[in-house]
Amino acid sequence: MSSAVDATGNPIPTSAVLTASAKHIGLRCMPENVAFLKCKKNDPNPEKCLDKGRDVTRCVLGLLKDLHQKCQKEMDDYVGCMYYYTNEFDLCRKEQEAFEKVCP
Amino acid sequence: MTEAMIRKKPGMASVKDMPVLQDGPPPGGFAPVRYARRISNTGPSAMAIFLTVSGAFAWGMYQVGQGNKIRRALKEEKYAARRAILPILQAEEDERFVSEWKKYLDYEADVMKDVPGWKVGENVYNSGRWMPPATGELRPDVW
Repeated sequence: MSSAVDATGNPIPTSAVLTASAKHIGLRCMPENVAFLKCKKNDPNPEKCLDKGRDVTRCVLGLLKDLHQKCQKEMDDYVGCMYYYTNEFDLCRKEQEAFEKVCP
Repeated sequence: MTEAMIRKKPGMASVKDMPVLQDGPPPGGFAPVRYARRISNTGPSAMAIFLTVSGAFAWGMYQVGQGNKIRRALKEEKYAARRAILPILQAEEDERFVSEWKKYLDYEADVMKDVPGWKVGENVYNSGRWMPPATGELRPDVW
């Protein structure tokens, strides 16, 4: 994988991209996440929680696209560092700080 | 040249009267050699040593605690990231599973359509809870 972006310009939710934006996802998609997890706890049947899952997916993909548009270079750097170091936060502090500064 | 010709004394009758040539102490004797122990009683007292060592130990354990705090914070960061992305990964897997399950149910209905009494496309356990299918591999295309 050499770029975090697919053909139409949206970020692909790979593990590097997701862990790079995990703090933002935890912050901004928390309602959808919590609703989905509650639904799952009630009934683990995947067919019953499909709509909430779609909410989660829509929120996260929209958030990724938003982040990518706002601070493209820093996000690409951070995702590249995450990919290189296999999602190890401590080895990417510099890129993380740059990313956090531009996209809080 | 024999010893007698070198060390002879005038007027000696035989070798037995030769002057003696011995290795001996210098005149006045050697200087006195100290062989008594002299271990001084100075230096830190027992209490001082004990306090120093226990102080170093306490400081070291404090550093261990600080290091553990830092490591715990790093682990917490990693776990928080995993908690944040868990729902989307589960949601994507649910979508994939549901489509695969539908295909499987259709295949099952197709295979068993001539069997009388094969009631429905899905028959699993009786407890009412949903269990994941236990039919061997989870994702044959991946493995």
